[in-house]
Formats: sequence, C-alpha cells, structure tokens
Amino acid sequence: MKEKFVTDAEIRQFLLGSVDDLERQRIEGLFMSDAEFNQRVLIAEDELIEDYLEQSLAPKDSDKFLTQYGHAPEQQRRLRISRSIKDYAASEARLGQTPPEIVKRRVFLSHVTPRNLRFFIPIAAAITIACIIGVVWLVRSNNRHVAIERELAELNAQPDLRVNPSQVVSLVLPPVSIRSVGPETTLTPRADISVVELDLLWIQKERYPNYQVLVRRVGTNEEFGVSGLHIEARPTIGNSIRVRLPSDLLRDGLYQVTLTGAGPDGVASQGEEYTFVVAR
Amino acid sequence: MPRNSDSPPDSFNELLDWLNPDRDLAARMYEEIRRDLIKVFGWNKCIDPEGMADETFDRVAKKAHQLKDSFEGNRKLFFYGVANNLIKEYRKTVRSYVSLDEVEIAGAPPSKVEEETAEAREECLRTCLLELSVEKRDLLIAYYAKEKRAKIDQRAEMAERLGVSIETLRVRMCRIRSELGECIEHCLDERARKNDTD
Repeated sequence: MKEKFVTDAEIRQFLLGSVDDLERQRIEGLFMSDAEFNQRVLIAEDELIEDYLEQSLAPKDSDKFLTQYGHAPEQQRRLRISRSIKDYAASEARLGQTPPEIVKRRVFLSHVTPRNLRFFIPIAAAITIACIIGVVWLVRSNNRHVAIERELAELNAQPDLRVNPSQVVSLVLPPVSIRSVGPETTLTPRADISVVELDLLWIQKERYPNYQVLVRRVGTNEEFGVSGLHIEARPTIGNSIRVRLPSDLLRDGLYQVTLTGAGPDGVASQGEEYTFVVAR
Repeated sequence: MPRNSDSPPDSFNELLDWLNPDRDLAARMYEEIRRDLIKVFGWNKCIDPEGMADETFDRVAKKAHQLKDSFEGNRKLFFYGVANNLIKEYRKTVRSYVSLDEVEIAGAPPSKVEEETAEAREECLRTCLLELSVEKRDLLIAYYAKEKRAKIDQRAEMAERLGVSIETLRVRMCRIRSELGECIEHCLDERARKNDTD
C-alpha cells in the first residue's frame, strides 16, 4: 500500500505536538526509515525554531512550541545555540561582512606588502574611523527600529484589549489591483487619535494561518513590519486583515503597504499592495 | 562511537554486524540511528533522550544474535519499534508516578547539560565556524543574516546566485547548520568536562 504523503503543514503540526498517537507513529516511522522524509522533518524543525526565535509564531503555536522544545535542558541549549548562530550572522551582516565583502577584503589584503605599507596605514586608519562611525549610526538606527517593531508587535498582539476605541481611527483599504481610478485614501491624523487601524481587504481565495505586513513611506527608507496577523470575516466589509499603527509613526506622504500570507511551512504567498496618503 | 552499554561487548559486535558487515558502514548507520532516536525521544518529551537511545540499542543488541538469521525488512524501523515501546513505558511510568505521589517526573536522571555561559557559547561558536570551510561559513552567515520578509528575499536571491532551487538551498543549509550545531554542543560538553576535572 502506498504511504500517504505528509505535507509540510502536517510535519509542523507533528513538531508542535498537535497530532494523535497514530499519526505520530506514522511520521516517526517515516522519519526513521525514509532519508528524504528525514531531511524534510529536520528542515521543518530548523524553520520552526527560526520562526519561534523571530517571534513569528502565533501565540498558540508559540505556547505549543515551548511545551515541545523548552522542557529538557538539552533542548533549551539547542535553542540558545540557534539564537547565537542567528545573532552572530545578523551582526556580521550589519557590520558589512557579508560574503562578497569578505572576498573583497581578502583580495585587498593580498596587495599589502612591507614596501607599500605606508600607503595602506592611513587608508586603514580612515577606513577604521569610517567603520566606527558607521557602526554607531547603524546601532542607533537599529535600536530605534527594534523599539518601533516591538511597539507594533505589542499593539497588534491583541488589538481589542490594548487601546481605547475612541483613540482609534480606521481606514478600509482595497488592494491596488482592484481599486478604481480615483483619489488616494487620505488620512489626516488628529491629536486625540493615538492609533490608526488599517483594514486591508483580502480578495484572494487562499487563506493562510498568518499574515505579515510591510509598511513603507514611499521615497524614504522608513519601513516597518508586523507579522502574526490573522484574517477576520467582517460582516460589513468582508475578509480583511487588521493592522494597527501608532499615529505618531506616520509622517506626511504616500504610504505603500504590502500584505503577504505565510503558509505553515513559512513560505510567503504572492503579496497584495495597498496605498494611502497622510496629510496634516 | 560514544556508548554506555549494559549489554556484553559481543552482543554489540553482533549488532554492528547485523547493521552492516562492513564495520565503517555499520558505524555510520549506528550514528545515524542514534541521532534519529534522540530526536524521536526529544519530540516525545522524554527527559533523557540520549539515555533512552542507548537503552534502545541495548535492547536490540540483546536480540542481535537471533535477528541476524531471522530478520527481514528495514532495520531502522525495527529500532523505531523498540523505541516506541520504550516511549509507551516511559509515559506509563510518568503517569503512574504523577497520579500516586503527585510529584514531578520521578526517577528522572540529573541532566548532563548545565547552562553554559554566553561567553562559552560564543567562543565555541567562533571555534566551530572556523572548522567550516570558508564557503560554508559565508553561506551560513548570509542565510541567517535576515529575518521575516527580508529573509525570504535574501534566500531567494542566494538560491538564484548559486543557481540552485530554494529547496536545494534549504537542504544544504540544514546540513551545514546541523554540522555547526553538533560541533558547538560537542565543544560545550568538552569545556564542561574540563571545568569539572580542573
């Protein structure tokens, strides 16, 4: 009898301990006996751990994850190691030592000889100073970014509980692909409004366990992401994904919002785009 | 081959013969099965996955002599069958201890893993990164450098640059990541052992 195919979503459910005993045995048996399946499970597990470390799991899955992976000291250590690897890679990348730069640096250093050392010393000093200034700037800017992303994550974790409704203004945004030609939806923030709620209409047939949003002010580098959002069926507007932004984050200008769904295997769907204007 | 066994050495040799007459291949298979069993016990929230993997080998080793002549089929599945019985026994033990005494998991051995310092972890990470080839190290840094949406874009770009599919890249990275993780764990164990003897 041919073995029923196990999807990536089912593997993830298994890793989160959400399958019955028969299914557990079936998956574990395949894991032991089928090299290809074994690899799929290990990849899925790596990606699940990454999602947990990036706080991309839905709260319910995050709890399940901790029950599965946080109980034994060995597993806790593996999580700490995974965190260290990610942190190390991120800091290397922030310092500009991504692979192509590493290669260039090696080529550059191969030209340094005792004879031309006096030319290289001032250059090296100038590069070092520039690097220090760059790192300080990057760290500051990164800290600000981290603080904003954390605020966004908190604001969107349980939107109904966190904000007084009288301080919220809502905008219903259709995707750019179906919007008729006309003026942009415009928002004029008021002093008494602390939160702007965007209702992003979802017109695709597919549904995803999680959605993520990237908000960008056009023509600038300002960009913020919110993940772990869920679709809601609203009686008046249909299916939408609700995302909340602190109003003091928004400056005058055109904003572009990209919404993508993420499958259980972490693979993102084709995105939908939305736009709105802030004008004071 | 690290192993603490209660079974006599002869039966262990018979077990290796049963796995594969070629001793190198048998040793490799032993390591693979042990690694997979540790995973399985971990997923089942067993408190000492490594000890239970060793217990599985002991039980199979005791039957190795009979198995050599009579067993037909996938050897790894046979190990899983034994491991699954152990899991069931473990669950029963945990359940009965909890219901009778209302205590935490009784009989749980003290953990072999103590929490290491962040400094030790970082040192081991750096040492192990140096053991990877430059190509693997650069790939690893690029692969894990970003998060969320940026991560997806970065990985798609990497796959394109390397001329492979995303799936192939995921497999390759999983192997490098696992190699690095095992090296770091080994390095931390060694440091802990050294500290104990000092």
